[in-house]
Amino acid sequence: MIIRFLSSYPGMYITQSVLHSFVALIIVELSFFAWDIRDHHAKFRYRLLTLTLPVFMFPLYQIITPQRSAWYFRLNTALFDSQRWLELNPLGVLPLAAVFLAFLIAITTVFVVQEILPIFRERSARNDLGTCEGTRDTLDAMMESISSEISITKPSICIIEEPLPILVTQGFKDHTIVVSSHLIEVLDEDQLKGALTHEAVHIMRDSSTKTQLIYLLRILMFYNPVSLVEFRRVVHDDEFICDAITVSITKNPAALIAAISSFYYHPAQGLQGLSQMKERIESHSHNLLLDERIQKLRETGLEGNERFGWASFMLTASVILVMGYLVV
Amino acid sequence: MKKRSFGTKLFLFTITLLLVTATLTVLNWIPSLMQKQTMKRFSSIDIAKKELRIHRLFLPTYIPEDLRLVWPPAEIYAQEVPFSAFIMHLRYRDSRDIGLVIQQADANAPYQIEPLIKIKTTNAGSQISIKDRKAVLIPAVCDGNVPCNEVSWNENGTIITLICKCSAQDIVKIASSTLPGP
Repeated sequence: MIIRFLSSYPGMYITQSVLHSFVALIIVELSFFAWDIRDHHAKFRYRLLTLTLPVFMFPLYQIITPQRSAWYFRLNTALFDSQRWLELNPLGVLPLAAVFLAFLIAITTVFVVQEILPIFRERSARNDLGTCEGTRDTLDAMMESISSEISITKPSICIIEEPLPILVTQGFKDHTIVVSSHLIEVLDEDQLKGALTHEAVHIMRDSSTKTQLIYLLRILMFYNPVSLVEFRRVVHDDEFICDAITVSITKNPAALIAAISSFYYHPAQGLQGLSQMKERIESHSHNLLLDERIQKLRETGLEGNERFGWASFMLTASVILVMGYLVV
Repeated sequence: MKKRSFGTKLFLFTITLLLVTATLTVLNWIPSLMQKQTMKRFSSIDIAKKELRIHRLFLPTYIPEDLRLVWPPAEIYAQEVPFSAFIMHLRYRDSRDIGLVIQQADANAPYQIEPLIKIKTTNAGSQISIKDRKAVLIPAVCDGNVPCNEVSWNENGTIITLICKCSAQDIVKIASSTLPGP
């Protein structure tokens, strides 16, 4: 029954999109080495290939070659035929098709627990950020100057009374930068300027709309382990890009590093059991990203962005498409 | 750090591609080591029979000369796992086109093996008798809008299917010749 499902069009779509994602991921990661790509702006674009192409590859190939899924193509033309593996039953207990399906169900569960449930929880606790206590003239003036420098409509600033470092941009068209009173207290003027410029760059790059669109693709591929990982990496890449642009504007990497350092998070000691473990894992991955950003800023400093190589990008995309065609 | 030239990068990219291709080829080959009797191509009917220990095979003993089909089959595929199946493709003498497909598969197979000659549209099939077996003859239009016919029947748990770009009389003659007796 499992084999029959995986041989149907929905089953083949699921199987092949996962395989195509893996192939795309490997080609993209090897391309970073081959094309000597270190710039996160380029990495961001390449990683988008891993997220976007597998969504459309199977239907596109089926339109071009309807008999691509037939045994004849699999046997004579394909470079890799997934059915050969899925039909295996090495120990005579459980066919690999069942193991594969169980793996996808596990990934789907992770997706629901990690990415869908928090959205509902966030909705029910929408006022968690606290109420807006207004703004300060110094911050407004700083934002005015940053906005005119990068040519964006000045976002409004909302200060909230919070003992934690909070700095987020809300809204899609009319943006508001929410900043906690704690952050204003601990950061000096240059550091605050670095932090606010970083947020303004997110607005300039339209990061929230981009993230939503990418998230939509991620939802479509809810069962796909590669999408799970790559979505996060793309979002992280966006942070690196904004850091680099920020530094190119403020010319002060040290201030941005200091601002980023104030966001390190260490969970409270009082938590027990699973909650403590969850908090530790979350804070560890949060702090790891901060480490990486600081490291990157220290390495590159005021270095400019590399020129994006469209020829190598198009070549990589074409190779992913050709390889995907031969992976059934 | 010294920057690589585009040529060097292209060379490295080609190497990585070869690496990915080789890895996929090896990964595609491994299952055939673990399960030897899955679908594969054979160079002759005898080799396929010997390797898969096939005892009953329905081979045509008569193919009308005017069809210009070449015997032995140009392509032979067979499998015992996940179910037993034997497929023969016969080409025309003067082209690379397949003119006749003969498929034999376990009647209890969980899925059907799609024949290489694609049937585009079918007309209503009719029940016919082939050496006292109940068979279904379906006149159809195949790839390239060529008129074709399909005939199939159950031979003691084996579904035998023939698709031929030929007339109904010719396909029935070929089908009859696969069975023993007058």
